[in-house]
Amino acid sequence: MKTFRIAHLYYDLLNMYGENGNIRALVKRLEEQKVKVTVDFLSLDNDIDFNNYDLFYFGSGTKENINLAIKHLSKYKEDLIKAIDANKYFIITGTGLEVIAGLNILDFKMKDIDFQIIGEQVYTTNLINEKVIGFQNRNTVIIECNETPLFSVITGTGYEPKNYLEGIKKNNFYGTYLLGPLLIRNPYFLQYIVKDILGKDYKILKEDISFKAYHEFIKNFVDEKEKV
Amino acid sequence: MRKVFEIFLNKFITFICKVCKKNGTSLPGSIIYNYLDKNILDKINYPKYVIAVTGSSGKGSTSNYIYHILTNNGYTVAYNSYGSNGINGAVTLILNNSNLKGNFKKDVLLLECDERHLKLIFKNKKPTHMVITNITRDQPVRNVSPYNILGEIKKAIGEDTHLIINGDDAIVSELKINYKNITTFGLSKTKDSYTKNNQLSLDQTYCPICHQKLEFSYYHYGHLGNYKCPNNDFKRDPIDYEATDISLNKKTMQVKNSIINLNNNALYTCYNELAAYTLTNLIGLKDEEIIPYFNEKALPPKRGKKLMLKDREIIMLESKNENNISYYQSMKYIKDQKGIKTVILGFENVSRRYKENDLSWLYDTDFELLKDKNIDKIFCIGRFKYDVATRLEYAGVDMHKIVMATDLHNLLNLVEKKSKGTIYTMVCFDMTEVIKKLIKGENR
Repeated sequence: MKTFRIAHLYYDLLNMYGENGNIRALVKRLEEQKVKVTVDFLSLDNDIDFNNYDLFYFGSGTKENINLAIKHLSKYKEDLIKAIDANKYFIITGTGLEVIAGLNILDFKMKDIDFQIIGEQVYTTNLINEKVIGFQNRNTVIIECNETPLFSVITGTGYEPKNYLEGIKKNNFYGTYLLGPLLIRNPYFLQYIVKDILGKDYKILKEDISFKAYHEFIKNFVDEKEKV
Repeated sequence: MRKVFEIFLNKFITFICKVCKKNGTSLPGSIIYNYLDKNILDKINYPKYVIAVTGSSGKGSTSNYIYHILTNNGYTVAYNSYGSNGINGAVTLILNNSNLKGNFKKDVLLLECDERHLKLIFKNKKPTHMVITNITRDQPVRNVSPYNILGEIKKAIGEDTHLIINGDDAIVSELKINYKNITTFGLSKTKDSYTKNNQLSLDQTYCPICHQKLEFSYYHYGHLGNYKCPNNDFKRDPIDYEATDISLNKKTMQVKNSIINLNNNALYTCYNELAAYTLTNLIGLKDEEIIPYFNEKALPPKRGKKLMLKDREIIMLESKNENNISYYQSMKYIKDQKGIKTVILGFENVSRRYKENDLSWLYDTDFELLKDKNIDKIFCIGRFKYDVATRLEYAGVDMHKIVMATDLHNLLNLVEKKSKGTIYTMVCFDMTEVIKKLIKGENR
């Protein structure tokens, strides 16, 4: 495979919860597969050429920073839609999803609420057999969603309270309210994405210590709860 | 009448707690405040000086210095030294130091305050002075973002409140936009200042006025340093109380015309001591009344308590989870020490306050500092040891140096057998106690 090019958008604005971990995870796993990876850190000062990248990432930010990102990205709306249609990868985490809502490029709406949804999450997805774990901290909800959900909620909150669907998947666009380094915390999900990127070039490698961390968490916090 | 009863009750419950040998530093206030009277503090006649000390880190040490200096200069001071820094602790302390008429009996009320409780403690009656040490990302589960913390702090600031703020901190300094009664403290460039920030997740990178990217001519750590907006809308203005000639090796810094000793060779000590100097000087104490209490009559260092494991020294550093600056300080301290080192790291729970275990902060914390050839081994402990080890792997730490201590009771044995050099523990509060007990048992 030729070089895999990642654009970490608004790395200095949308970075509230160690989101750089997701980029580190992608780079590590792809490099282990002997793929050359480049990461460009782009923000308000930069022009974005969507043809130049294979994967785009951004994470969580404050309301003010989300609005700055929406303003900056709004001139690229057509490029964004084209890139999603062209099967480019997008990984959007936490309140970064509010930027997507603000741009109106996918078929869902978002609404502010006057309380904070905070908590640990346990999901399933039909992409992998293992559960997906993570954390949410937000004060918006998704309504009128006509896109394909990414996850089903076992514990936690979906699009809105009492809704059990979470995240959005369209082609290779993956968006979720899960915040922070979820690709590190969910090594199987990361493995799925890397496999999907590499296709037949994917090689099975030895599991690193992040798998152990994942299983420990499942043992201590998910299975324990299910027993009760 | 109601006030008399409430003050009496507070004193009475405190008395009962003492008799029963219970920690009565917040229970009495919690009963009064939560069940009887939310406005009880409005009924107290406060003294001339009501000093609040708040911020994401360093508020305990800073207020400790202030207490040390003031009491040695003849002031009577009521102070929550035991760390009950929320509304319940404040009510308990304040009522216990008032007579039944509600007149405060001491010269000074000094409160180390939780950032989120400030607005409850100072709902109507505002502090005369507020020291803000810094604002960094801290417990995002509660605080969401540093801007939320700043917003919470603002609610406790009155028209006459004199703000004593960290002028190096680009978030705290946003207060300069809307408040006038401000004195700043800060550090001049030091030998350790750096010009390129290696942390990807800075808390303040854009000008709060024009949203242009802030230019930092140097950083002390995190978003603390010398910043300037390219449009000149916002910058680190000349600092009112600036420490210069900072030498962590010699443990000294110069403030105005005096040399102040640092009770620890760490940068955060400079800020804590400087903030205490600034506040006490502002309320009228002269150098000769302040400086001796940093120098010949200094407080013993709070962090870095030394213990022994057989013939090896153990330095106990505490790191607050979900607070990257706190971890940074511990790791920077370890990095700066000479000789062969062993590190113990980990936690059982992320927080003491809530059950959620958000781990994202691990990736905002500069564990790359542990990539140090003088570190022999790193022992990971606690329920999240594999998450910590994963983070260390991402930091580029040689995985052969990492030892997973699955059985805590065997930890010291493992450390003795498998590692060399001075032992540094940089665990969170819950584990500090556990390790202290283990060491006590070992040395018996």
